[in-house]
Amino acid sequence: MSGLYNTINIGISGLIAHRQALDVRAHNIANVSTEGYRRQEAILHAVPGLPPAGNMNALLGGQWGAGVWAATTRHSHESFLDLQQRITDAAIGRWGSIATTLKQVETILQPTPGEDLSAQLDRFWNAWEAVAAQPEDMGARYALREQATSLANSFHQAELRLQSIRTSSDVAISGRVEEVNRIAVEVADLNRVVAVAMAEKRAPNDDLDRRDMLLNRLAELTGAMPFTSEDGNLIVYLDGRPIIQGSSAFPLSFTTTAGGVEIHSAYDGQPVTIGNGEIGGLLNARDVCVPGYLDQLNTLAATLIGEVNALHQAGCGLDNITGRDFFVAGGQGGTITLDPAIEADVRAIAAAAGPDTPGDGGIALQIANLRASPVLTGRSLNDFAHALLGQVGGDVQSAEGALAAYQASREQLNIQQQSVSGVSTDEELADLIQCQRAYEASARVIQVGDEMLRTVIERLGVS
Amino acid sequence: MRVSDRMITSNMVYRINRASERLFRVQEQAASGLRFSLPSQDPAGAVRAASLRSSAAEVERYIRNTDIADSRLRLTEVSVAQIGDALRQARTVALSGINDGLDQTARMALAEEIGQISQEILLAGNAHDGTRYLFAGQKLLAPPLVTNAAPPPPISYQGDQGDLPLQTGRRMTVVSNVNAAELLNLNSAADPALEDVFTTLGDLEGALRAGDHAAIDAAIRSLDVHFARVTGIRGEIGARLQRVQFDRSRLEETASMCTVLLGETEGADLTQVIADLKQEEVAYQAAAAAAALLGRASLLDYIR
Repeated sequence: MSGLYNTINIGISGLIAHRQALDVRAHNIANVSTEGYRRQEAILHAVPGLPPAGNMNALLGGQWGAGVWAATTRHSHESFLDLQQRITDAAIGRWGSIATTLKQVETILQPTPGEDLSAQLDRFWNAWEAVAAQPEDMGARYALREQATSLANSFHQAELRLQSIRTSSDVAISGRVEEVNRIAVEVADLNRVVAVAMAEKRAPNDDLDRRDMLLNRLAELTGAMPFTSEDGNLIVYLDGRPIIQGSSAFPLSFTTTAGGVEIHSAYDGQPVTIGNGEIGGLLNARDVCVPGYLDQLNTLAATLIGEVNALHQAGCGLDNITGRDFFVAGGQGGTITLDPAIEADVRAIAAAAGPDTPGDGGIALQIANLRASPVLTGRSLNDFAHALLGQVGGDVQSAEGALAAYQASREQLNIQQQSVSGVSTDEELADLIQCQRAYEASARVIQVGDEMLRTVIERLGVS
Repeated sequence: MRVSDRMITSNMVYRINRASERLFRVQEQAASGLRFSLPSQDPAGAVRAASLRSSAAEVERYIRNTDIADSRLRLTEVSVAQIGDALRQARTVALSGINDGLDQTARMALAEEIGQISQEILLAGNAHDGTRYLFAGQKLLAPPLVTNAAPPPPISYQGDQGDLPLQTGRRMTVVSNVNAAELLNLNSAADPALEDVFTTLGDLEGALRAGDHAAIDAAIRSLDVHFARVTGIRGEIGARLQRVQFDRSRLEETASMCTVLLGETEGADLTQVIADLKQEEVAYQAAAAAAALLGRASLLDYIR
């Protein structure tokens, strides 16, 4: 039926619908700074019309509209960008962790420009050369002992600090595993809420936003990608085992072993390998990069000690005693020390080839000439130290390069995603005005309906 | 393209961050004078710089060695020259001893003089630079020439014939000493057919006292051989000194080449850096100004 009350009802529907639309805009503006929030839009539908008054046959004549209603809120969202974003996030997490760890290695191997192991080696060789030039000079011998101790300390410190990177990586890994678990539990909860809302034909937009953001962070941490199963459940697999399956979460557990932290899945109790994301990067740096540098450092130290000792053994000190080592390796905690006799008296440094020749620096000269001898896989010890530094520098450079490239592409993806789903206050304001005007107009419609009704009541009533 | 508020902010932050990062890098270069301070900023350059620094350290040590060689050889030359002069003087004394007109007293005085010359040579042969005896070979902590308690020979040699080589380059050595055995033919180290200088002088002294012309003649011939040898060694020391000087100037050239190359490798070109600094500063200011401009404009300003 159609009548004057209908006019008022249409006006009322306009009032309600535009107030709701206005609320959606207000919600957008309120969330302009919310991370992961996606713009929502009220979808207004015309209320299906009724047949004209007096003609009950709906097939005849035009239909008279019955107003408007806010059918649903639309979520602007490009889901194909999500996958790309997460892949990029995982790579950023991985390379970021690797770059951070490698930069620590870099500062360990070169605390300040020009002050690295090879500089220490240079000074060590020069100290031997000074003893070779003046083997009878106690000053040169003291200087050599000092320099040798300093070199041994540098090796030891570098090794200790590289080891400590591994320990601090373990702390970082366990912190991130805990974060993964918190995310898994929250996503599982959100899955339940979303499923209920979907069943009730509601649009759980804000919950979906929150869930997507958590899944992004999960990808950044572990590289794990979510997918939706045929029955509509959201599942996230990590190394072939689910950590989120619909409303269930299977947290990871970590145990500290001699080799470092191990991660196990609560799903089947098996160890989980994580190769991507921040955790994957930290594991890679801890288990591949740092041990590689440690190996090279140890090779360098071992060759230095072996070569110097072999020559020194053949030499003879000012005290005419021969067959002594110079360095003593393999102390507690990998310390390198000098032979106790040398620690006690620098005259024990064997510079001479034979006894009773205080002016003979032949052995010292041979040791000094180790600086250019290709004793380590065809390279001199100095070249090896230079190459190690260059390798670390190159590794850091490529990690930072990869990181910067992924960050730039993340920024581009972010712009694309934001272009679709970000809130623009200008746009919202314009729409706000439109809604406000529509609201005013609807109120005017009601007023007009009321006036018409009064016309009917007053004019027709008294005639 | 639709532009959202967060897009503007995040892009703004991204650009300003990049601009200030570059500005920071250039500022770092200007402040440190180095083109890179971490190996990762130029791995190849870092390896090159480290190698150059190693070479520079090595060369610096070789320069120190040439200094040591130079001072040792100069000291040695002074003493060798003294010995040569003493030998020449001994010859003059011996020649005047052949004169038939000399009486006993005059010959005694001449013999006395030879004894003093012998002492002079002994002192010169035991020359030291404070701790090191120059002519003792490698046994340089003890005086090489000691009066023999049971002659002959009158003086026994306590040193050895070891060299004191100093490196003035890779596998390049210069011997920085002369030993007294070779210089004075002690133990016939230089000339098996000849006695040592002190024996010759002792014989000469005896011959002068006795007025034995034949023996004086023989001593003069020996002195001539000794003198020739000492002069030869003196010439050799001069040659070595020259080589040391040559090595030194070569090493200094290498050292300054290392410095130049190191500067080219890791040093920042200051003109370039300052130009870059200005440019990056402008870029940063532009990014910041653009941000301020975008941040200010809003529809809110126009609706009432």
